[in-house]
Amino acid sequence: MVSERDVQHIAELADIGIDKEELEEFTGRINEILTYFDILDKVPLGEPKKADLVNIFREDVVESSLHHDEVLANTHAAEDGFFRAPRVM
Amino acid sequence: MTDNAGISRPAGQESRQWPGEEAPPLPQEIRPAGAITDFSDDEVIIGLEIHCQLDTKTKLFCGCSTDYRDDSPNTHTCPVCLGLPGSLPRVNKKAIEYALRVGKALNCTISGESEFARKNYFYPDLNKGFQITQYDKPLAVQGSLDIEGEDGEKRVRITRVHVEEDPGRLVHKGGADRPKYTLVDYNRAGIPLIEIVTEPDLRSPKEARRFLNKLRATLEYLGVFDSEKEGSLRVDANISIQPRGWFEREGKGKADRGRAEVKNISSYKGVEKALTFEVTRQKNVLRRGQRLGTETRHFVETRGVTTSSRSKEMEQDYRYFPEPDLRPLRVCSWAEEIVLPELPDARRARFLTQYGCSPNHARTLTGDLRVAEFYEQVAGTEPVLTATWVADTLLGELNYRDMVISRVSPNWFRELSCS
Amino acid sequence: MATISFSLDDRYNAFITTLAEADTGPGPLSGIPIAVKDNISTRGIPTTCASRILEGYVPPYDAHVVTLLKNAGAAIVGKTNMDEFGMGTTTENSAFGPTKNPADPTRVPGGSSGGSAAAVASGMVRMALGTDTGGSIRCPAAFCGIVGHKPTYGRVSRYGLVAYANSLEQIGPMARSVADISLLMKVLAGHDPRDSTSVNCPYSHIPDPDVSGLKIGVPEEFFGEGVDPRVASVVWDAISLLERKGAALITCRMPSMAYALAAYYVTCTSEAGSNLARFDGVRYGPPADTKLPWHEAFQQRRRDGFGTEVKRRIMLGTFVLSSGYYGKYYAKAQVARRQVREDFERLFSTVDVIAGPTMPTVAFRFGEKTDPLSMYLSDILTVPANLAGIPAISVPCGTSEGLPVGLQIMGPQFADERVIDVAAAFEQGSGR
Repeated sequence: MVSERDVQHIAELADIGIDKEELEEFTGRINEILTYFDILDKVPLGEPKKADLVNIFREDVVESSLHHDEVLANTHAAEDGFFRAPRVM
Repeated sequence: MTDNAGISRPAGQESRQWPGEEAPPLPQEIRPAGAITDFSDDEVIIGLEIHCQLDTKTKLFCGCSTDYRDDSPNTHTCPVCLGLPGSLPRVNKKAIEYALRVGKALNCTISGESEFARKNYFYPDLNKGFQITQYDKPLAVQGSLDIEGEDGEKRVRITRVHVEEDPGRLVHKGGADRPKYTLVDYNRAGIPLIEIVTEPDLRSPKEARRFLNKLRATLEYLGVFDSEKEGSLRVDANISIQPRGWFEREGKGKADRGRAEVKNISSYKGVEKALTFEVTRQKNVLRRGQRLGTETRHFVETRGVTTSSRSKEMEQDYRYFPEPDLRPLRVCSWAEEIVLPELPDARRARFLTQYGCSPNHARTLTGDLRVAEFYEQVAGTEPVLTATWVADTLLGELNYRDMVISRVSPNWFRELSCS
Repeated sequence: MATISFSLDDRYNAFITTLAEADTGPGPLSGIPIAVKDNISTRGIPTTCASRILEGYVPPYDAHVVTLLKNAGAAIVGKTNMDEFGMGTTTENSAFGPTKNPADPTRVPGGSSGGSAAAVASGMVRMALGTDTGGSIRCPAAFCGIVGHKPTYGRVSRYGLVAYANSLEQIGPMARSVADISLLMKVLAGHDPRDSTSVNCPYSHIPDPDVSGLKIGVPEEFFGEGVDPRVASVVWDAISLLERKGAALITCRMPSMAYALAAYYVTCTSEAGSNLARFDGVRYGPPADTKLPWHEAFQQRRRDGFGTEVKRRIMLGTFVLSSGYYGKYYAKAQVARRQVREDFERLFSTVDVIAGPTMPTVAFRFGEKTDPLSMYLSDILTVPANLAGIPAISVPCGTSEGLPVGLQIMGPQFADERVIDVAAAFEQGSGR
C-alpha cells in the first residue's frame, strides 16, 4: 500500500505537480488500483514472449531534415534559432 | 575552511600554489582517529565509462545528417530527433555494424539477443523525456584491452559495450544582471554513441590516460570514430583510494573509504589532470580522518580542479524498461562475418619487422592512426631514421604547438627529410 | 483536385477541429468525407489529443495513415474528440467537453474514439479513423451502433500516432457498414519503414459472408459475472444467427482472462508515463515558464496541462516501473501477456474465431462512472485482443433498453480478413 507521502514522491519522480486536495483522492484511488494489480502475484513463473520480429534496420543514408521554420513553428520562445527553456543551473 | 583540494587553512590564507597540492600530515596531537598518514600500502582504483560518437553519416534513430558542427542550431532535426508526438525511431544499421566492430576488437562476447531500453528522466536536452539506450541486454559484454601498465603489459577488462543516443546541447544564458534561462540546440540529439565501461582495473591517472589513448587509437583504426571532432568523446571516471588488494578481496559495493565519480570530462588530457587532482584531493580528505561517501563531481578544465556536483543524479530512478518501438537485435552471426582491419598491436608488430623500428618508436608511431599512415607514406628507403624524425622530432614539435599531424603534408616532409 | 465543403451542425460535439473545405482527389476514397481522431498527426491541422498540453500544436508532418488517405483521394474534414491521450472509455476525459452518443444524447458514446464513433453514427461522415489501445475503437462502435475494427498489431503503421501505449495500440477503421471497413482497411494496411513494429501484410479482400463450417469459440469468461444478462442475451441471439447460417458453436475457456486486465493496465500505464514525458512546453504546446527553474516549470506545466485521469495513469506507470517494483508489476505483466497470447493460440487451434459481447453493458449515462477502477473493469472484454495483438471487430447486433449492443469477433494474428468476413455474415444475416 502507498501512503500520501509515497504518492507525493511518485508525483515528484514523474515531475507532475499535484495539489494537496488532489493528493488524498489520488492516494485512495491509486491504492484501489494497486490492490487490483496484486492479482499478478498469482501469475505462474515464466518468461515473456520471445520476439518474432527482429533486426529491423535503416540504411545509413541522409534524409532531409525539417526546415528551420517548421522546427520552431510550434514554440512561442525561440532565440537565435535555439529553443528557450527554463534554467537548469 | 577547506578549499577545493581539501586542505584546511585559516581564513584569509590563500594557497600560493596550484590547488591540487598535497597537504602535509597533521601534527600527531591534533590528528583525528582514522587519519591516514602513509599511503604506501594503498592503491588508486579507477574505472572508466567512455562515450564516443560513432562516425556514421546519419543519426542513430533517424536520417538527419551527423555533420552538424558548423551549422546553425536546430537545422539538422526531424520529427524523430526532435521528439515530436507520434514520431518513431528506426535503427541505423551502420551504427550497429560499427558497434559490433568495437565489440569484436575489444574481445567481447556478442550477446545472443540484445535490446534497446528507455532511460527515463527529465532534462531540456532530452526532448522525449527518455533516452533510448541499452540496459540489461547490451550489445557486447566481457572483453579486454591490453595496455602498457605501471609494471609492464596489463589487461584492462571491459564490462560492456552498448549503443545509445546523444542528447541535445545546452547553452546557459543570463547571469548576475538578468534572470537565467537555457537555450537548447537539438542538432546533436540522436547522434549515435557507443558506451564502453571498464572494470575498475586501472591503478593510476597515467594508466587511465594510456587506456584512453589505446582505446581511441583502436576506434580510429576500426574506422568508427573521428577523434578530431570536437566533443566526440566524453569520459566519466570512478576513482577511490583503498588499501592494496582490498578491491580484489572485497569486490565492489562493500563498505569502504568511499569513492568519487567525475562526470563528463571531454578531453584526453583532461582525464589525467582530473584524476591526478582527485588523487591528491582524496588523500587530503583521508589525512583528515574523513571518508568520501559516494560523490559526484565535475571537472573544471580551465582551473584543473574537480568540484562537487549539486545534481540529484545519485538519487535518480531511471525506471528502465524495454523500448517498445524497436525490435530486439540478434546479431551474432552478423558479428562473426565482420572482418576487422589491422589493429594497433598488429600494426606495431608489423612495424618492428617490416621497418625495423625500435619498440618505443613502433609504439609511438602506431599509437595514432593518422601518424601511422603518415609514417608509412614517408618511411621510404630509410625507415629507421625516418621513424626517429617522425616519432621524436615531428611529433614533439606538433605536440608543443598543439597541432595535429593532418596539418603536415607527407610530400613536404619527404622532401625535407631527403635533402 | 476538387474540394468538398463541410459545415454540418456538430450537435454531439464529435469534432475538435473541422475544416470548412477539404481537398479530395482521385482514388478508392475519392469524394468521401473522413474524420480523423485527434491523436493522429495531420500536417497543418491542429492535433491536440483532446489535451490542454497540446493546445495550439500544429504538426509539421502527416501520419502515415493520413498520407495514405490523401493518396486514396479521401477528404479529411476534421479531427475528432476523444478521451485525453486515449485514456478513457467514455470520451468524458476530454479538455474540450464530452461527446454525446447519437443513439441517446444523455449517454456517453464510449471511448476513447467517441468523437469518431459519433461522427459516423450521426451521418456527419461516412467513415472515420479511430485508435484502439484496450478497446477504444470497439467500445464506442458498440455503444453507438456502428462497426469498428482493431487490426492485427503491426498491420497499420503507427507513424504519426501520438503514442499512449506503443506495444498495444493500432489505428483502425470505423464505419456504418462492414464493406466500408474493408474498403478503409485496404487503404490503411501495409508496411511502413518508418514504423519498426510495422509488418508487411497489405489487405486486399472483398468480405465473404459465407460462414458454413466455420467454428466459433465462445469463452465462458466472456459471458460471466460482470456482463449484463440483457446484453449477454442479445449477443447470444446474434451468435445463434451465425449458427443458423452454418457455423458451429464451441464453448471454451480462457483462464488467462483473470490476469488480462491487470496486465493491460500495468503495461499501458508504464508505456504512457514514459511517452507523455516529452510534453514540457519547450518545442510545442503552451510554453513552460522560463522565469522558473526547470523542474518547477516542468511540474507546473504538467499540473496545468494534464487532466486528472492522465495524471493518475502517469503516476501509476511511474510507480510500477520504479525501483523495487519492476519485478512485481511490469515483469509479471509481460509473463501474463504471454499467457493470454498462448491461450488464444490454443483456442485458435480448434476454432476459427472467437465471439462474445464487445462491452459488458450498454452505454453509461454521463457521470455514471466516477470510480476509475470500475471504469477500467469495463474494458475486460476488449483488452485481451490488444495484449495478444490479434484482430478484433465490433459489429452492431441489436439493442438492449433501446441502446446499441456490439458483437465482438476475434481471430488469429493476421486473420483480419476472416474476422471481417464473419462480421459481414452477421450483417447480411441480420438484414442491416
